[in-house]
Amino acid sequence: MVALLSALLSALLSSSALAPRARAQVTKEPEAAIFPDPKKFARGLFTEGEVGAVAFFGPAGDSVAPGFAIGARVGYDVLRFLAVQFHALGSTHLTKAGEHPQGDQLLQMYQGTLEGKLTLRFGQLSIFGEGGAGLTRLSTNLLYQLGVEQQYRTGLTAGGGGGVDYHSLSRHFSIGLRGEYYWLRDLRASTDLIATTYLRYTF
Amino acid sequence: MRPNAPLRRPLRYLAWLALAAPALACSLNTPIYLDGPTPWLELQGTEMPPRITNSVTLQFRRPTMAEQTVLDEASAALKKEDPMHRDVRVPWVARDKIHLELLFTVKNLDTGPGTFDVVVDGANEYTKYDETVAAAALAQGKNDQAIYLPLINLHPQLPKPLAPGAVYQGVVREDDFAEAEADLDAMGRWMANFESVLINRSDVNPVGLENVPAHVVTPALVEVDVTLTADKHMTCEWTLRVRDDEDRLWHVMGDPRFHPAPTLFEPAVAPKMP
Repeated sequence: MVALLSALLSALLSSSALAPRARAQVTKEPEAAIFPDPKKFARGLFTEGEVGAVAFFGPAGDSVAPGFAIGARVGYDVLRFLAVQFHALGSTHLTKAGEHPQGDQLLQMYQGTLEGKLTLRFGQLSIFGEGGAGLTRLSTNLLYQLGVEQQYRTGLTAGGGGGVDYHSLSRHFSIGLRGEYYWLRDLRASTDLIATTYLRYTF
Repeated sequence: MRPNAPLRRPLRYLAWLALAAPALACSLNTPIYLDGPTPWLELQGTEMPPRITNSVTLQFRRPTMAEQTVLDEASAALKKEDPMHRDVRVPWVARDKIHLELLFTVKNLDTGPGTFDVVVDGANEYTKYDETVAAAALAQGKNDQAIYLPLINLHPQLPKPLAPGAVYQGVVREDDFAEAEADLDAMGRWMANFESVLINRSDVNPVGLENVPAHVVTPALVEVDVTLTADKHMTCEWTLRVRDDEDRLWHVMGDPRFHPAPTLFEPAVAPKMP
């Protein structure tokens, strides 16, 4: 009888009813994990390589055909939404001169601009607008000969554009599309449209 | 070292290469285009003979002292290696530094079809070739029909018939100029038979070039003379494309100009049999 009472007492003491109350309880729902988290994307010094096309409008459009373009940017993200960048672009074209002998000649145009860039991010995707000013340089004097170029081979340019950027989630890489429209002061105020796709690496 | 460090280094190199590529491209292909004189060449087709010529003389800067020293040393080296120790001067305006190409447009302004030809003569810094002078020498004062042997012709593409109002656009390529420059140098400095070298392409039949020293530096043309021949009312507009590898064309006002004085080539023609 004593043994039975002793066993009952032991079972009662070890039951949950008399156990001390646990103190580390989860008292609210955990926050949902943000994916992708833009804070994990690299930010700071970046470079971009781009390929695409350049087309001219205005007086230069009558003398220069659209052509293939390759370019690069190096810049720095001052803030998460603001960057400054240097852009260099080279494009190659054929001239159009009608019955004149200067037609169908290869011509390269180089553009170097200092730009500011504003970015609005939606997770993995972002849109941006950018603009700046700089210099243009032609590889030959053909447009000077054709009366399009007012100042021999070197001129001023200014303009801007925008695009869409898609982050690869590998921290450093993103790809995107952009279009820019630039005014070319010394090509009798012609304009050029630059459409490129790019790969960006942020260090 | 961080796990992605080996990946970063080549990417950095690629980034710098991408930045440098446009700058490199700037120096690779920078021809200068020089228009032919105005008014354009124009013939009514009734002229006797129906030929007209105009010219462009290229302006070069004079070599600097250092450049002249290099030329003199190269000339001395060529003279030393020549078996007969001839005076093998290295030209300042050399064919491997100056590359010419001619672009032209011929338009038939007549109401009927006509035939035209475009040929090129010129001068290097030592010798000038004028096909009219050569034709006169060949004729030897007789009233035979003149035989013109230009430095460059585009046979068999030209002469060519042209419909009324039609336009023909042609190119005298760099290799055509290179051949002509070799021919002119052979005629002017190395006593080549001018008919032999002008009629034959040196890469096919190098007849007449036997006296040319082995490592001669061929002079480029400093003057380009374009001749239009037409039997109807036609015009010819032309542009000269010049690639100047070492910035020898004169374009800075302060630079002294190079003033070559080429000697007119007068062919030695064997007397005709009566």
